[in-house]
Amino acid sequence: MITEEIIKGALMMIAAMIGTLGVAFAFNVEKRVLGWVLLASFLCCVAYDTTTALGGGLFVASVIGSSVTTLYSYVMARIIKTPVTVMIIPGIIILVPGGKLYYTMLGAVSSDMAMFSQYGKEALLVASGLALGIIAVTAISRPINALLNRMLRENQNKI
Amino acid sequence: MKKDMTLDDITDNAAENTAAETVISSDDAVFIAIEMGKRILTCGGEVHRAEETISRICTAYGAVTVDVDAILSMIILTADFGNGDMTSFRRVSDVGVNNLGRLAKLNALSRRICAVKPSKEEFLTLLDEAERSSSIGAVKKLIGAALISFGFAWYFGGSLLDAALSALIAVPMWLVLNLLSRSNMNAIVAKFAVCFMGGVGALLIGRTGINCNLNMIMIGDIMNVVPGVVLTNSLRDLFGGDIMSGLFRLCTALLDAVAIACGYAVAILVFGGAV
Repeated sequence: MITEEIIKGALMMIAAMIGTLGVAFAFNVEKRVLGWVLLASFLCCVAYDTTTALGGGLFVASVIGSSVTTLYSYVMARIIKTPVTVMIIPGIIILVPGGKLYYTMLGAVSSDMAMFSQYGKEALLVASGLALGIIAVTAISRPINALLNRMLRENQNKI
Repeated sequence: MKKDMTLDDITDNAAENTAAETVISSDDAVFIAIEMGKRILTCGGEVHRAEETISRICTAYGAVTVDVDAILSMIILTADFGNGDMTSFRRVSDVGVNNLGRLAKLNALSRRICAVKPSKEEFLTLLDEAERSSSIGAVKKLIGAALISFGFAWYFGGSLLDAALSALIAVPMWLVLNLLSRSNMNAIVAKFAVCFMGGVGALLIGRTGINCNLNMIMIGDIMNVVPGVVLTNSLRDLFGGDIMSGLFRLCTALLDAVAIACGYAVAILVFGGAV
């Protein structure tokens, strides 16, 4: 039973990676950062699944998933010297509630109000959790980045 | 306050600056700065990044004060290069095509500009080189679209067959979208048309009696056009203080979402509740 779960999880992970790779191609992510972008998406997936497995709701899971990815992206963007957006956008794409939006629309079309409101609310929750995670990390990282830059400049001046 | 800060920055490298300043007029410096800002916005960069880039470039070329305000459709820049304020506006169009490779190239170029301070002609050559080396090939985009549909149809719970069928529909969808946007078709109408096509394609596959899950096929195809990235960026802009740009993106995302929903909805309504 447990091995089945693991295999299923691994397959989901592969599916998510293929999707992320597609986004990276469509948005023309450079080859040298491709691996790091896939890793961002992988971390996002792991953080989201772990939170869900530990009993976290949709909102909490997407906040944690997106904040972990954003944190990783800020650190990596500094190390490999690329704009942080390049890492974040493909990294969090698996959290974008495409499926939920589709079912919301389907509910509206088939006049199934219960389905419409249920999926609509879930899509909103996930999207706002996603944004909240990014915003929280961005808010913290801006002063830290400024501090790091100042330290670097002072070091250079000493030399 | 701002004046003092920028003055401090300049005095650091004033010695190296003087040589360059004699060659490059403030007109050219403003042109270079605003052009870079515009390019960053059009390839999907943040407003915050465009403003910072413009400000840095102007300062590097010797501006005493720089005030820049960018929204997604316009850049307004006022800079004082020691001979009074000059103000420049630039209309920005074609925002919304994400090209993250180009963003990275432009970012590197802006650092280089600040370091070597090229003349206008040199800058244009550098810019051309950066843009040419980062244009997205049609084949790459097409493969990307197919992979997105395949990956997400599978990820959201479809079988491998659903995923493959989803990727199959994504190819003509993408081709038509590309064609429509090249012929200057209204972007919202184009999205509507493409989603209608995707819906019809999926429902036709359903009619053939293949054992597949139509919902999953359509979800995979939707991921190609879903404005999730725009929505996320709009919330980031809003919370980051760029209210205008945030609202701009939010409206775009909502209009796109409505167009996509209508496209699929009309397809489902026309071809009956076969889902």
